[in-house]
Amino acid sequence: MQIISKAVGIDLGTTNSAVAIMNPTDTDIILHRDAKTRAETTPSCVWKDPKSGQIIVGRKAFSRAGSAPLPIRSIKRSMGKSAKVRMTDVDVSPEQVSASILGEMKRQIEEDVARFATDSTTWIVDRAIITVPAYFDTPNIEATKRAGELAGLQVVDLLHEPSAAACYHCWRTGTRNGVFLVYDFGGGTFDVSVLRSTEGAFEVLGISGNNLLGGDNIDTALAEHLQERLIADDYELNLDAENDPEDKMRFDKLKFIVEGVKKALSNAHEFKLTDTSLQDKSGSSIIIDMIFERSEVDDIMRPIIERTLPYCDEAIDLANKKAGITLADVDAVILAGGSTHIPLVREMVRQKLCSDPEAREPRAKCTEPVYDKVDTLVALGAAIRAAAVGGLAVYNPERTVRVTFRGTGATGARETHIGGTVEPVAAGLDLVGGRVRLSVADTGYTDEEDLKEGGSFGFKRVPLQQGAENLLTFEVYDRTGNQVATAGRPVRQSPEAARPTGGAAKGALLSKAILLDVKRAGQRTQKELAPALTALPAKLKFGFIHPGDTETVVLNLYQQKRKIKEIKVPVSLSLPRGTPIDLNLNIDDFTFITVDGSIGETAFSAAVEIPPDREMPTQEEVLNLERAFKEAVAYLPAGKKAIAEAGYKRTKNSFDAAAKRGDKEQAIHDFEEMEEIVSQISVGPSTLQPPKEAFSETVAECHEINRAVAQAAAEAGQPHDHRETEKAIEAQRVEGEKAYADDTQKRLTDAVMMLESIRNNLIALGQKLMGARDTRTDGERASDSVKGAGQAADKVSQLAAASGRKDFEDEVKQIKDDLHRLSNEAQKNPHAVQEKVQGLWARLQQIKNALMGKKEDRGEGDVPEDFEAGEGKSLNPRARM
Amino acid sequence: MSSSGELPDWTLFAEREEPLESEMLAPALEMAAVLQKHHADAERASGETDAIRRTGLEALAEQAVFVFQLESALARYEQDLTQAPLAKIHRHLRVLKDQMLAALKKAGLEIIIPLGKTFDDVADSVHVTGWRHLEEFTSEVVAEVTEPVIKHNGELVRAGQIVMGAPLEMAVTKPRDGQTEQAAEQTD
Repeated sequence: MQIISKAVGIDLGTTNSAVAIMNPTDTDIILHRDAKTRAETTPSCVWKDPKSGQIIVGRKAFSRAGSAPLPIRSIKRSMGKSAKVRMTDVDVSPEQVSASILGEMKRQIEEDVARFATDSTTWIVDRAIITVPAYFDTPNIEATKRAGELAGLQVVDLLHEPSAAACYHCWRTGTRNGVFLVYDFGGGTFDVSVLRSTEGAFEVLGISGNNLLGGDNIDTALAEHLQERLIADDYELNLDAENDPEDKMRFDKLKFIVEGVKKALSNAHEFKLTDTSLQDKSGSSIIIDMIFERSEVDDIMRPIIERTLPYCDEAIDLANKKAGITLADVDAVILAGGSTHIPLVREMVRQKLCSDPEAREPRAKCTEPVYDKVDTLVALGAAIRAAAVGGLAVYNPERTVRVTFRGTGATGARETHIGGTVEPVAAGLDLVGGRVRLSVADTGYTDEEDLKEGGSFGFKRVPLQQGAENLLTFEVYDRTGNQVATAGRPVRQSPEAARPTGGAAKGALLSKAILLDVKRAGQRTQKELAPALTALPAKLKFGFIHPGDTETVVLNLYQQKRKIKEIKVPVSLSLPRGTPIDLNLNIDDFTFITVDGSIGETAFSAAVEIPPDREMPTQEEVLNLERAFKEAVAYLPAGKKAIAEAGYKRTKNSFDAAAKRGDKEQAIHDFEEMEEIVSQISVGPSTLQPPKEAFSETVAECHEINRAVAQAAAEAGQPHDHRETEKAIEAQRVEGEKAYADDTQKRLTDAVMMLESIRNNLIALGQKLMGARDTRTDGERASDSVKGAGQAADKVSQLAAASGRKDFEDEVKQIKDDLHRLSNEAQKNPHAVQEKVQGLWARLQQIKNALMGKKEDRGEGDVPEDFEAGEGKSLNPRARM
Repeated sequence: MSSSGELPDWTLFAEREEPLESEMLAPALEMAAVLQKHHADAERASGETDAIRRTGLEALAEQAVFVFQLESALARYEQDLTQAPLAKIHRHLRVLKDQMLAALKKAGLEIIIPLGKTFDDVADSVHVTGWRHLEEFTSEVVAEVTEPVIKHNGELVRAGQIVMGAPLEMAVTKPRDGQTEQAAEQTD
């Protein structure tokens, strides 16, 4: 009698879980179904009976929702957190709760595995592959692994959920290479991932999603619609679901009813809903007899489904950043999650992502999304990987020896290679010097091999009977020739049997980007230190430059938009601007972040603790955000404006609804999303040069010179088309404005160059016109130029002092000294002086531009300057000499 | 095709690919492969039959639920319907309902109304759509049956829908403002 262990695949979901295993010959997948209800999934819900102390998992536990003690639901959201949850009368960790769910999954699949037993074999479940979301950090992953171990399972691997979904698709279609977008719209969460399969190995390239957006939002909206229709029919249904348990039950019942409508309309365009099971607040029976049209229901669902689409763009953008992947590279869009049963979801996904000859923008190569086993394909994919990675382990009846076979038991080849390991699992048993004998009864083939170091063995080119199941028998002998174990490995040979079984990069990924506040060209901006999906652990080095004139350098770190740490490094006020800043960012396996480095001689280091979750936003915060949105959106072009407004409105509606029903978690989540929208559309501090105020001054200067030239021309009786020149200046002003709106340096540079050209022409014309009347000598003219430059230098010096820029003050003082020296030479060498004054004028103009672009308050320290921009190099050459 | 001494008319033969190399197998092996294939085909056919049977049973179960609802409606409006001139209609409807029930029972369907049963008695065969906490309940019992449990020869075909009744002290305490029930359950 042999004891056989085969690894199983478990989808440990937020709302539901599922478990599957490949059959003994690895040619098909067996998904567990409840014997009574035939359900393929189990609610991820745990309840402890206060009387018996028994822990109940699944549907029975779910039924307890609504009565004390409450069952625990959605524990997956808490995996990896230290906070405990109350289970009836004890506090337990999230991983203990998940262990109960995994234990139930193990028990369920054991029912199926028991059917594999033969006269000579019994089957056990002790190894599993568990799926985790792609955004899980190492603490979440480790907690999941520990939960598996607590459930008595050896976790042979953890697999990203989208990889599992794609793995099933590849196995089913025999695809080995491709790029896939997995659109996973579940009951309570939405996740989208872009991944690439290279020879069956998967790599996640982009992820996004919303862990509080799912089918439940749709059911709530539909239930509210039904409620309104029934109120219109004079039923007393103004419900207070939050405070009145009976009302809550009525609303839950409405949700239950509309779920039926939703399902029925998945296959029909019209559905007649009849129901008499509900009573209104006055106790009258509600007789529902109404027609629901798909278009009517679609109108309610559309805004919710629309909210998922921008996340797809986000995931594709990330994939583009990481691997240059665009939507046009995507071979298949794979649907997962119960909400993808809704036809409108599939249609909107198709319209947004799939190939369409009439679409202008790039689309995926497929014409339709893949809609196949959307509720269970993650568990099915995990089972495929479990068979490939976990192989098959066979114990002898005494459980003293374990023979583990690698790979799957299905092949398309007529001769196979088969290898594995023999291990003693009982103390004192030594298999060194032992051997393995292989025999295939059906073909009469035999072979024999000595055990290698570590107990490994391998047989090559074993002939197989075609189109049939071959039983390979392995007899293990110790060095004295005693047979210690016999293990059988069925191998199915058929051309269709060999299918890709997937493979995936292991390890955690950084789920959100880490950014740092920096300055570029005098403007505050952010530098991405570690992009999302960076493989962990990660050690990253950066170089910045000291902003100068401050006693504190401030390092503001962000996780996406959320500030996670402010490190203030005290430095000497005399530390020159341009001093190198070295910064090292270390993120370990557990997403624990440390920062260290030096600013000149000053070293710094700090550990980053992710701050606690935020509180419910106040009404003032909401109003401020609303105001910020309105201001920001006003600058957008019409198309982008409409998209931003629609996105903001959708999220705001969801926020308002969540706040109204007291759903804090959802409300905060939506508020953060609204902040993200505002932040994306806000015209951030521009890094364009020259700053806008300086540009406006140049425009004003051109107009002023044009007017002066027009007057001089009129006095001299010379022609000058004043209006045409005005138009030319205006045209460049408009170009410049557009450049600031689009944040396009090239466009601005072109506009500035054109303005400078106009100004120079006007000056030349003016000089020509004035020249006729100018009676000054060359020396006097040079002397006047020096005087004019001196006056400008006084103004710039005041500006530098007001801005606290000592470096500029010093430089302007130097310019003034130079001008003073030149004034003495004006008479002797007027042309050379004029030339030098022009150079100093230009420099004064640059400093003025830099100072006018500088707005931030310097009392709170200053942030590093980004090395790439090199503002210090161009603006302050003297400080670097 | 051809008489002796005559060459065959090669134009009658179409060109074809050379057959792949075939392997001679022992009759027992051939037989084993055929049996395995038949076994797989039989399993597939059995699965298809089972699915058809299941669809039929589910349709019958739905009818049984409607009959239950008709029965409930007749009971609810009995007082009004038993007054003349509706008494005849009521009797007619009742007879029709009884005939429908008899037909369903004859087909092996069992309509179970688990009112008053304990949670443990019914948990495997119902969806609990809500809980009602009242003084009148001293233990957890089924307080209302929205849909009956339907079985066929002892096998569950369609789960019932019920509201559970429970003692007042088991009512869920209202969470603090802004917290979900689950959040209220969390401890540090």
